[in-house]
Amino acid sequence: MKNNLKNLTKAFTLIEIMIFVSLLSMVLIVAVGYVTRLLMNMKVNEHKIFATFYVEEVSEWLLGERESDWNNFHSKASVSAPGTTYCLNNSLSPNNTINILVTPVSGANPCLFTGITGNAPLIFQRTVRLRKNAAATQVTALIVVSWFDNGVQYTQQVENVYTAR
Amino acid sequence: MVKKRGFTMIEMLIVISMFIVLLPTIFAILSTILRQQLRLYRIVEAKRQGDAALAFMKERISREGYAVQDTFGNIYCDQAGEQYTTSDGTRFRFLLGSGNTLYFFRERASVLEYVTAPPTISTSLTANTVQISNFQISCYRRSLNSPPIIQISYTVLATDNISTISLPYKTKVRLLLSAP
Repeated sequence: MKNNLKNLTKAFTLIEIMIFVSLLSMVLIVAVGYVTRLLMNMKVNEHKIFATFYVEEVSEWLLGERESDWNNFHSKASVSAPGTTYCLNNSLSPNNTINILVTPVSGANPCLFTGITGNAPLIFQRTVRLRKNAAATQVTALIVVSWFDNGVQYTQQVENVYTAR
Repeated sequence: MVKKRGFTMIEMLIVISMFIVLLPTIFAILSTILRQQLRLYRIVEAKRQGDAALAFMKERISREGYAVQDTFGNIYCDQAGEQYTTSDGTRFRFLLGSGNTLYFFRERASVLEYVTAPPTISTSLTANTVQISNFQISCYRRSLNSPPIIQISYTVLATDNISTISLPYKTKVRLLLSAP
């Protein structure tokens, strides 16, 4: 009777438990890694949409300023390469003219990744580089929006050519 | 002896408690993913609708906009230095070259509308999945040598239960001809 009972008692050995635990943890680690990467990618995509919007916003704004006053518009650009770069981290309100571009970006006046004012997330840096030809009939604008996601720098940019009309 | 096979109470308790810990974790991760995806969808939707409305208005004004008139028939922005601003689109009518036909853009019940008259026909430029606010339209003319410039601005809002996405749009278009 005692012997019988002993034979009935079944249990896993230490090796079996260890194999099971290690398999389970391997699967879990892969799953967690996958989910993390998925979420990161989604965040990057979200920021990319905002960045595209910010680039288009400036592109549209410059087009409007070109329409309003060409002389003032091209006075903000320089002939010498690579052109004059301005920081445009402020949010553009309808009455902002090209005159809000005052101080070019330099060592003393850097353009920081502080975002477009009032629009979360505050991680973007927006610059616009204006260069004109010697006759001042054409201005080339390079609009760049950059941001960091998990230590990687992403950039969204567009180059437009504006001509006098 | 009857062989009794089955789990003991303790075993069952352990398994259940493991489930109690694991299930909420899994659902929390799933819900985070879904929420993020929904947010992404809302942003894309807001941008798509905002872009489409902007493109339509620009196209319309630059192709067929000859003069600006209010409800009483006063012409605006035909003089040098003149400026006219309103947030009520019905008071900012674009005249077509031919006779009394006109059209205008307005914000009504958070939807952007394009209205032609007569006869009055209104078409929605945005769907009700997004809200339009702060619609404003203005014109000014710097000098008689330059055409009147129309300025349009509005904000596209997309709200889910967690946050609101707002995209501010603005553009400037020149009128085709000066006022008649």
